[in-house]
Amino acid sequence: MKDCCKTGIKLKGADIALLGNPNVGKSALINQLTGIGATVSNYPGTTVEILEGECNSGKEGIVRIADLPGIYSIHGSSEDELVAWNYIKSSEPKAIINVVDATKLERNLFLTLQLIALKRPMVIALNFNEEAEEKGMKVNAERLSEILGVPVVKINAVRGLQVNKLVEEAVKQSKSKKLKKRIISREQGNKKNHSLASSIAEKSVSKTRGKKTSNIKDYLDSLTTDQFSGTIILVIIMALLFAALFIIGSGLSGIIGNAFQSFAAPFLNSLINLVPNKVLQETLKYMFVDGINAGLQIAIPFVLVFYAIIAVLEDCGYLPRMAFLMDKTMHKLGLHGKAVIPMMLGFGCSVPAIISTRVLPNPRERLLTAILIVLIPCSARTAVILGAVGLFVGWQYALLIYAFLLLLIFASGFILGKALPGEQLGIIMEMPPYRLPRAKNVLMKTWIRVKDFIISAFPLIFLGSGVLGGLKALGLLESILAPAQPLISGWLLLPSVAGITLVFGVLRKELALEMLVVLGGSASLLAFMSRLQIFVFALVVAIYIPCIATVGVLNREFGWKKAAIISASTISLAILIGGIAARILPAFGLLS
Amino acid sequence: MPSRNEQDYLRYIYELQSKNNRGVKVGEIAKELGISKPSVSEMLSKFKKAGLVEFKNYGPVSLTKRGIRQARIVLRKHRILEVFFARLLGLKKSFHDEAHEIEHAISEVASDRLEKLLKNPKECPDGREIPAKQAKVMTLNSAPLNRQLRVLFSRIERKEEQSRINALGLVHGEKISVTKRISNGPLIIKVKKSEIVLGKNISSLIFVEADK
Repeated sequence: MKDCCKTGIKLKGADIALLGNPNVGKSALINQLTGIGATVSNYPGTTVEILEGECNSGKEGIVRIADLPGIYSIHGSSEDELVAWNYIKSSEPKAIINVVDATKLERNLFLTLQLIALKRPMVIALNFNEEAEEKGMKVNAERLSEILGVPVVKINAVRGLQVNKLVEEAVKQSKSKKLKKRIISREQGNKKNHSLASSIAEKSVSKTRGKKTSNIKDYLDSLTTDQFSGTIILVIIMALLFAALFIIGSGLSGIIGNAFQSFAAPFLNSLINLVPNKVLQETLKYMFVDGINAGLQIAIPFVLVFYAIIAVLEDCGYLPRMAFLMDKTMHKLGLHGKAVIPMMLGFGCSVPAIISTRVLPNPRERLLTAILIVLIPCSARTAVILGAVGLFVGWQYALLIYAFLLLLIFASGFILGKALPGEQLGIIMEMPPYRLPRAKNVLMKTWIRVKDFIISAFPLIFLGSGVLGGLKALGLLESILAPAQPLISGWLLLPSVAGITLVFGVLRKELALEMLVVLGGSASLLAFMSRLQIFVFALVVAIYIPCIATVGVLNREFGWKKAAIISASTISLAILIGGIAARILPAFGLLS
Repeated sequence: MPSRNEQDYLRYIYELQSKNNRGVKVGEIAKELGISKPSVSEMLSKFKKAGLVEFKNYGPVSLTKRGIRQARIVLRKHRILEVFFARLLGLKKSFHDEAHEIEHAISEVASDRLEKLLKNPKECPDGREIPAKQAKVMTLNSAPLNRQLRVLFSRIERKEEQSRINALGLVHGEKISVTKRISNGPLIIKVKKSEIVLGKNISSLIFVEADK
């Protein structure tokens, strides 16, 4: 991890560090304490960078708290484990809060024993107590505290119960001069620590009667991870996801578009008309009227709907099941099951999807997944495919483009998986239990992601639209594009206006379609393009160079060389495939 | 039947792998046995030809299923004898050395009878388990569903993966079960009350035993 400050918060070193196994509720806890908006998901490894926030603990004043990536061992060698361990060593927090999942006490205590041996001030936050009791286990906090020699506070991180008491206790520990006598296993061997953890868990857990809800969850778990029923459910969920995306997304998109055109656009236009210079006027119109309009029509409807659905799937814990079911298929792409999660996000927007490849264990998998994400039809490309092909050519042809893109992703994964150096890792992933998603968390997470999308994409959209609008107003666009014309009309067999719109598509994919409408001078593409041309156009838009925001994030995550190679190869691929499609389809009697 | 010397090798490799939960290096075996590295290498190539161990050039050495079975025969004799010397004869210090001498001479039938006579002890005097005669050894990817399994050891080579499975508790003696499997794909195991997904290329590197 090159830098840990991508959230905009400088790491100043915290008073308290939250440490624990993955998926034990550390992010939920820091949200409760500081409200900094750490993403909480029901799968391991959500936090891939260190987050710091401030919390007003009343008596003690401001306390700085850091949320570290979840780790299983401080001696581990995975990237998150190194990040967490380096933080503990270098910034020396005054106290450690070890967050422990009561339902998996024995396994969690393995890390706890390692942390205790560090001889730092420390408090244990016992989370998921209700869930543990549901499963028939009740942890005796006093007993546990007695055995370990470290205070134990039972909390509910999601609801924020007892979290202030936890911080007070941690501050108290950090100030006490002498540590209580603690249990320290002399041999740090794995087996020794595990058997010690096991005997401590045995001594501090009493059995209670479990609840029925636990059985329902087990049944659901079994059903959704079974090879046969699980695969059927997976297909149904995916179909529902896309149906919802198309129906709700297009509906919202239309409503927002109309509202913007009838209320905001005239107002903005009249404001811009006050500007004296004609060229400047044109530029500003492209920048703000068209920029905002397109942004709103995509960002709000498709991205929002997509992320809301994904947030529900994430929080209930379905995504890791999906990773399990898809692992075998993903292996054929040279990846493992975990890569499914970023790739799913890619259907929304490539930018956050590429950022989320950080959950993957090594650089090879990250790069390979990112390349495939670039080829996944994001919501902007979906808008083009649906808006152009779906509307004017027929839904079968829209599906054909989708099918072709999936095939292309498979083929690329297959080839790159073999070509990229480095070994393929095996999946080792903890399966979280099913949990009921909480509306507040789903909404917050959706909002954070949509906001990230707006922040990263909108400035580029305004800037790019402005530059292109200016060039067009000055009448320079055509002459700049002249050298590319043979490629556009000669090879792709597209009308020459299409070439200009493809350049606009670099800013944001769906802009290509909008510009086509503007430059073609008709809302119906059929007025100036054949059905075949519309199909080829959408196909090229779907494949060629990722939008500028994606190139930006590729550059940030993998360096400009790789970003440039990816961009160049997708352009060549798009042109190659587009030209072939323009010839092959009529040869089969399609779209001629 | 392997020679006396070979039996020692097999038993040591088994014990080292159980302790470290990974393949062992030639140097580690040499150190444990007090023998030079070249002689160890020589023995290992012989084992490899006989299908008892596997290793790539100078890489870590792991017993094969066959090697594990052979090693467990020796180990059983050794630990049953240890119980015999410590418990029945009261040799509190020298039980290990005594057992070491006799383990190579005693037959399986005799050691089985001795086990019965000692009322089927579960552990040797050092607290290490006596491998069950009835147990079947297999790799985790071929283990039956929903049966109790005990982890023997892994031969995972990547450090990151080693430390992950160690921290998750997939260590020698841990009781686990396979709850789901995608044919020829990943599986879900239950270990220490949590469910873990293991890819096929991980599970095929972990040896387990199940009661027949």
